[in-house]
Amino acid sequence: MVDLVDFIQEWTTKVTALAWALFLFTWSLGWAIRGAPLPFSKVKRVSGSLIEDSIWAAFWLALGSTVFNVVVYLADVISQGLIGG
Amino acid sequence: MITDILLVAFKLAMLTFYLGILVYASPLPISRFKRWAPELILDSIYAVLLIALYYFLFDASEALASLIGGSWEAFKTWLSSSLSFVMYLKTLAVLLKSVITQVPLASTVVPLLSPLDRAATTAILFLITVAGIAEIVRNYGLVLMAIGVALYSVPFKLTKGPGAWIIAFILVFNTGLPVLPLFLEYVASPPDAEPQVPLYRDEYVKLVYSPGEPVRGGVLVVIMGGEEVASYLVNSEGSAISRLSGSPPIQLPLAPYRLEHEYLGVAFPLELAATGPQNLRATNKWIKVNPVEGLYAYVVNGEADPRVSEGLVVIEASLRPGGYLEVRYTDSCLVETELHGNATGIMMSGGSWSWRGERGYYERLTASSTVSFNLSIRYSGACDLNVDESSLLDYAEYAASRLDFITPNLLEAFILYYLTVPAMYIFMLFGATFGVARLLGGRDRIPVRVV
Repeated sequence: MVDLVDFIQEWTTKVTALAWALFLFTWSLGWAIRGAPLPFSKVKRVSGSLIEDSIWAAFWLALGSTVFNVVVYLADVISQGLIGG
Repeated sequence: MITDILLVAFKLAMLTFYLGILVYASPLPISRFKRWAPELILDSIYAVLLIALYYFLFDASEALASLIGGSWEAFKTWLSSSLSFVMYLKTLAVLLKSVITQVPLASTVVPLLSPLDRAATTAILFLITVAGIAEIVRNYGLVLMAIGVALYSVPFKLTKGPGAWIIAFILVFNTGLPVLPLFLEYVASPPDAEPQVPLYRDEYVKLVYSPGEPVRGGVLVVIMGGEEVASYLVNSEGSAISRLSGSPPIQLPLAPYRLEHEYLGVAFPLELAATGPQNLRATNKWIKVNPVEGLYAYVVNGEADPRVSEGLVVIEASLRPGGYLEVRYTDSCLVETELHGNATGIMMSGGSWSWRGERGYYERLTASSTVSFNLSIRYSGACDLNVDESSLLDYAEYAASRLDFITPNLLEAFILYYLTVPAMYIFMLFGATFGVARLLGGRDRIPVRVV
């Protein structure tokens, strides 16, 4: 069981590191394509979505632990409120 | 162990979360792939919520059950009393079906025996299945729910469905099963089966009057609650035989009973000792000598020492005041008794008896003070015993005559109370399980982005 936990933890760390690196790369790629003199509107839309998604990635990276703390806190409140009451 | 499983679930939820971020951050503009990003992030939030609420949900289900008025004790009581009644009916049906050729059963009962047998079998299987489910929920509920939460947290919704189902199953049945007896009480009533006739089992009964000396005849009477329920002929080796089969073993009820030895018009209480798993030795402590089936002597309030030879019995007896020695014989026996010794203090009396189709005579010597004497008994003739067989009753016949509680109404109430209504309730619980699982598992995907 502990091996399993460590295994998952290892992969989570890898994924997190990759996500950080990729976010920067995708954001740059998005801006690069946006600035490129290619006259295809579909390409422009793609670049826009790449930029947008990479910012979402950054957002969640920054906010992740806060969200989970809020969730656990809410769960505690529910438990106390309904069991205590 | 549960904390270990929950830890795995939490780590899986974290992995799911970061995988979602990875998908957002990846430069592949494939919408089908990118659609996973908000899904993964939402899934991880739901998973963490479930992990945090794990104990609360389980406690809430128990609290809801007791709020409605159910309890595991009530459920266990209902289950065990139902099972014992159903097994009783099944055993009764099987026993009666096996003697149906020999014992006359009421014509209203015969057609119900097979349906009763089948209904009882089905009820036993069903009730034991329910008991098994209750066992799982009661003893393994927390562990299973933790496994369910861990499955729920696996990324990409791989095992979200099964995980949600296990969680829902444990929660719904943890609430629902203790409430089952209550539901049953509101919707149906137990079959009215009083008075019930006790079941019986085969037993080899040997009657003796002193260690190693078997009784040579008479009738073994079984008495329950003051009522004579069965009577068996005792053969010349002291074994009780069944009238239906003509040989041992006999049937004795599985409820408390008394045994008496009726012999030539006198009823003696017996002392019982088990000599093996289906063997019983019954001792008649009153009879002192029993050389042939049509002749015996017994003593009340005294001692006697017999010496037996061909056609002659000599008894050395001593009696206390009020005690007596009595010699009983059938009318096919020619008996001459002679008293030796001091005859003062001894009163002689006698008479005739008739019992179960046989007739005979008795002679009694009663002591008014402490006396000792010798009595010699000369006997000749057939000295046999022919009991009227129509006065005998096998216990199976007695049981068969008390079956008027087996009616179509009984069968209907039985099937309703032990099969139909509980099965309806269990199906309702499974329906609720699917509903809760759908709520948790969210099979309808929310096709919007996370904002």
